[in-house]
Amino acid sequence: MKILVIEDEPEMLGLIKQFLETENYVVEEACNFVSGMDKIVSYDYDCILLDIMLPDGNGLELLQKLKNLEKADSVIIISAKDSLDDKVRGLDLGADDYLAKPFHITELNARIKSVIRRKKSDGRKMLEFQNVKINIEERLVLINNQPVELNRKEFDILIFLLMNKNRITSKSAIAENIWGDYIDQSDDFDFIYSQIKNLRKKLRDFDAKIDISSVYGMGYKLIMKNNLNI
Amino acid sequence: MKLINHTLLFLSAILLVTVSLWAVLFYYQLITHFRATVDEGLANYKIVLIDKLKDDSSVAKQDVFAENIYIIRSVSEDYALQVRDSYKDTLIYSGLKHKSYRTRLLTTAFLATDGKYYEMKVISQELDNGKLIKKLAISLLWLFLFLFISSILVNNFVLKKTWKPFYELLKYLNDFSLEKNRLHEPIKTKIKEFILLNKSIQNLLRTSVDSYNSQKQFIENASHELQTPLAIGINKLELLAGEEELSVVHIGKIGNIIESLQRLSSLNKSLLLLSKIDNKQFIAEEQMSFNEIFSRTIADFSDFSEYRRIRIIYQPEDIWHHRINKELADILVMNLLKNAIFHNRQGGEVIIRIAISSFTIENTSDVPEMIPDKLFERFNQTARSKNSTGLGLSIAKAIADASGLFVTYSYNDRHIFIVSSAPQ
Repeated sequence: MKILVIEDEPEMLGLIKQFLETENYVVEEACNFVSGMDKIVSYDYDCILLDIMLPDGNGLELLQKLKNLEKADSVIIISAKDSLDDKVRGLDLGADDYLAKPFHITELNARIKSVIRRKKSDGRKMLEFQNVKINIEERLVLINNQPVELNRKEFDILIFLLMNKNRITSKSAIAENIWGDYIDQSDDFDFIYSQIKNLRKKLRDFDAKIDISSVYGMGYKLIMKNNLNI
Repeated sequence: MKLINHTLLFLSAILLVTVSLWAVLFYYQLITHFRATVDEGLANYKIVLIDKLKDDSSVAKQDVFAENIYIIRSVSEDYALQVRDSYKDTLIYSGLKHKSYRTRLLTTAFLATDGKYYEMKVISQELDNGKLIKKLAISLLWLFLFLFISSILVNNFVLKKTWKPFYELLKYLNDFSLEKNRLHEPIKTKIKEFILLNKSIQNLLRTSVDSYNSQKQFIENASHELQTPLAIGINKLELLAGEEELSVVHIGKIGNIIESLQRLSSLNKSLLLLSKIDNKQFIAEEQMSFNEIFSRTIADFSDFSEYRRIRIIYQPEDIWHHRINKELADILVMNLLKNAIFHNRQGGEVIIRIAISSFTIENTSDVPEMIPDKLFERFNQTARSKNSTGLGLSIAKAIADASGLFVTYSYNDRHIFIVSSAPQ
């Protein structure tokens, strides 16, 4: 999987690159409009992370160029400007997603995976994690080939955690992913706990080989049971 | 007191003093002149009488002022010679009128053609000072009234016209608000002082508007510039937390730092939102139904309210449609509902009512009654929980102001927020 990151902030760029490499992506970087344009024209990528506020040009023009070249690269816009206009314009121009800064690295991860998955599998393929099979489009979960009833939020939490498996996912990242941005000012995210508790119980009842562990002070982590060497 | 009335009062006082002073002087001059005329008349009469005496000696047979206005009696030569013509005021008793009256008396002596000396006294007609004063006073009153009315007219027509630019300027300053950001057109006037005033005010306002704008710009830029380092900080810490050699305690501490940074970030977002609302950057308006927004928002918050065991009672009595920006309408409802849930108590309730052009959100709380004016202020310190930005209600207020809505707070055992399209 090849990902191009177009971002003018060197620290942000380095950070995203470092993270994506731990997820086993091949990462190319561009730190301005011109070098971004070069790479877009010359190569194909599975996914492009595009900061639209570049010092020497508007990232939306790069998007326009990409679409004019009729390239199939998926594009996720990342912007410090949380503006509805930019979002609408970007999505109209053919971007696959829009993420406002600051974002959780786990959220970025989930979005990239979802964008790539949509493109590759046409939404038909079952995702497999140990003995758990999931069809995201049909919102279907099978554990040991037995269907499991999950409510909408439990399902969304499971997917989000699976996308970030073996990674600590903060409570606020989960809350924002499932409940939306509006929840970001709540006192605490303990209300997530009841959903997690139910989800965990169902996983255990069906003897799934994945489990959700709590990480004190941070959030939760989805772990593969055979990785535990128990 | 209005400037015009003030001028008028001053002018009237000056007029009153001037006219009165003038009246006194005029009276004395008039009296002197009048006496001189009367005395001249008496002197003429004397000559006529003396002439008459030449032909008619019976004229001399008068020793009381009965029908005639003179007395003539013969006197000795010595007495006559020491008499000089004299005019004086005197009181004469009139038998006919049975009363005394004031008159002018001429006393003189002369040598008649018959060789005898006579003394003659002639009186004038009645002198009535009282009447004169009265007449004078009345005409002066009329004069004063006339002057007073003319000065009112002068004030109304001339002064009003003269001060017109001043009043326009005053009205403009009264209507001026920094947020509206509108500098006025210079008022057209030829009066030097007003041109100067105009210029000074324009300069003053321009600097105020400029510094207000630059402050606003600064906050906006600062908030924007903060987003990237915040994002980097949060993400770095998230990556750090994932490293395997960290202990549970370390991860917990990193979690705390991330929480603080996130709070900073949401504060930042709120500030940006506020400045965007203030800058009128939410332009597109459409017909929105608050009923729909509430149904959706209540569902969104259901997990949280259930967790806190707060009952949300939704009672739409009518459907309220309002023309408003969609994003702002969502945020308005969300912030007020969030406020009602977060400042509630365990097991409390939130009651939402919707009428034809207003909605009401009531909530139970352990927080006592708040001061309405302070409540909507930014970073209002009263009843802040540690995690709130303190901007939620001021954002709600800013949205209401920008969308032609009115948000009011009252307290009746419960905190009540009313949003309506007409002032309460």
